[in-house]
Amino acid sequence: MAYTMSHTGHDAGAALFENLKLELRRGCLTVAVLAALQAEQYGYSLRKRLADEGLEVDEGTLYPLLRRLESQGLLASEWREEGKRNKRFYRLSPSGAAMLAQLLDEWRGLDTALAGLLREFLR
Amino acid sequence: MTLVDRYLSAVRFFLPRREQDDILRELTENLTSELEDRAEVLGRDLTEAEIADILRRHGHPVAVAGRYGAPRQLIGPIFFPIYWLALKVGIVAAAAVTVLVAVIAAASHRGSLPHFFDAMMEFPERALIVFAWTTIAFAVLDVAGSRTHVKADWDPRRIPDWMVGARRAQRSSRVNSVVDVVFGVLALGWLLAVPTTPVFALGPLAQVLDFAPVWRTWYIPLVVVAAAQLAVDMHALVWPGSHARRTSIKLGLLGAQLVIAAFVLSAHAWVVARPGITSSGGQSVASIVEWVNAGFAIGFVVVLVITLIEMGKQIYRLKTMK
Repeated sequence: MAYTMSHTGHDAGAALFENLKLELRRGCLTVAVLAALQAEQYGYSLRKRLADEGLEVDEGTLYPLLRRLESQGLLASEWREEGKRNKRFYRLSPSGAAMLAQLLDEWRGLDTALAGLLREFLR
Repeated sequence: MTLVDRYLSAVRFFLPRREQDDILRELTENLTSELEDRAEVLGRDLTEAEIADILRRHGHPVAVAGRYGAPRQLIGPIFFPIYWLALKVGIVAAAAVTVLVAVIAAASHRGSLPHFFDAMMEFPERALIVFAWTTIAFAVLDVAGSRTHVKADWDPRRIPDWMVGARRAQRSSRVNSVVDVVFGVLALGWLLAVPTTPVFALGPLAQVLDFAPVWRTWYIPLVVVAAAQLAVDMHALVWPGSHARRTSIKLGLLGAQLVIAAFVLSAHAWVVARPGITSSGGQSVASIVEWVNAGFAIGFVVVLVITLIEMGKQIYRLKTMK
């Protein structure tokens, strides 16, 4: 019984961590995608590019995000042939570039604030 | 049909029709790129297990399709707290109405428990109706006001009192206490005087009418509750302010009043003709008795409703007590 309870508590803790991690990454991911798409990419190549930088994103999150950002006018896309296959290439639109600049200002502010708050933890 | 085709067909099934082709085309391309990339790394064709593993990581078709849909919520964050409050109030009101109807149903059948339980069984349906209509109403409100945002320049000085459970100013509260005590004294005095001076309750009809036997059972409890209510009001007059215990006692007394009123209501007859009198002022006493009893019945239902409202107020007071 004690084992089951502690096991359940551990599971709940893990689930909570996953939830908080998702929340933490959600906003950062948009900034990362906008930044990465200053150079043109298609879905899978963008995913690899982000992974190469250490940001693993699952397909189920990334591909719908690309379409959402495009529908918001922050990305532009076009179908083009590459390697004998048609692929949808995304790049940052002018309003996406302006939004990225605004988000980066916000990011710097957050980074400074967090650096101060986390000084003791990161020492 | 390959494993990938089956997977993509399943995703298509759950996608919004308008975007199916476009999303599928892109998804197919991305998946194919990934499979080819993996095969290139391994230097051979992928096995079915390896393909299945990639698809599994990609996500269940329902989840994948769901992520492509627009974020859906019936009621957004602006309206949700109000919706939740309205839902709770609605469900509590449905419960109160059910209890009231059940007590009346049981009372009108001489305290029949089966009638009480039959009426109580109506609660799930009543609650479901409240839930459905409240949800529909707020969903419509949310769609209509989907562009509603809390104004950035909202005024904190204009937060309504009911949200914070703010009480009226102390002086006004003291005046209320005085009014409560004065009315309590008058009510108790009236109750005590009525048995010896029925004219206080029946007016000129006291000459031809008498109280029904039901009052003999419930008169004392009624006086006790009225006296206790007066004591609580006097306590509030002497020691003003909010006291959880006092509010709880008041709630309990209101509950007792509700039960007594319901049982008295179950009697059907509250006045009877005095022995030997058959007519008065050219009218038969039987018809006078009928009319007066109908008036009593209406009066008791009004008392029950007012008591329920007063109980709701006390519950709100307890909930917002600091």
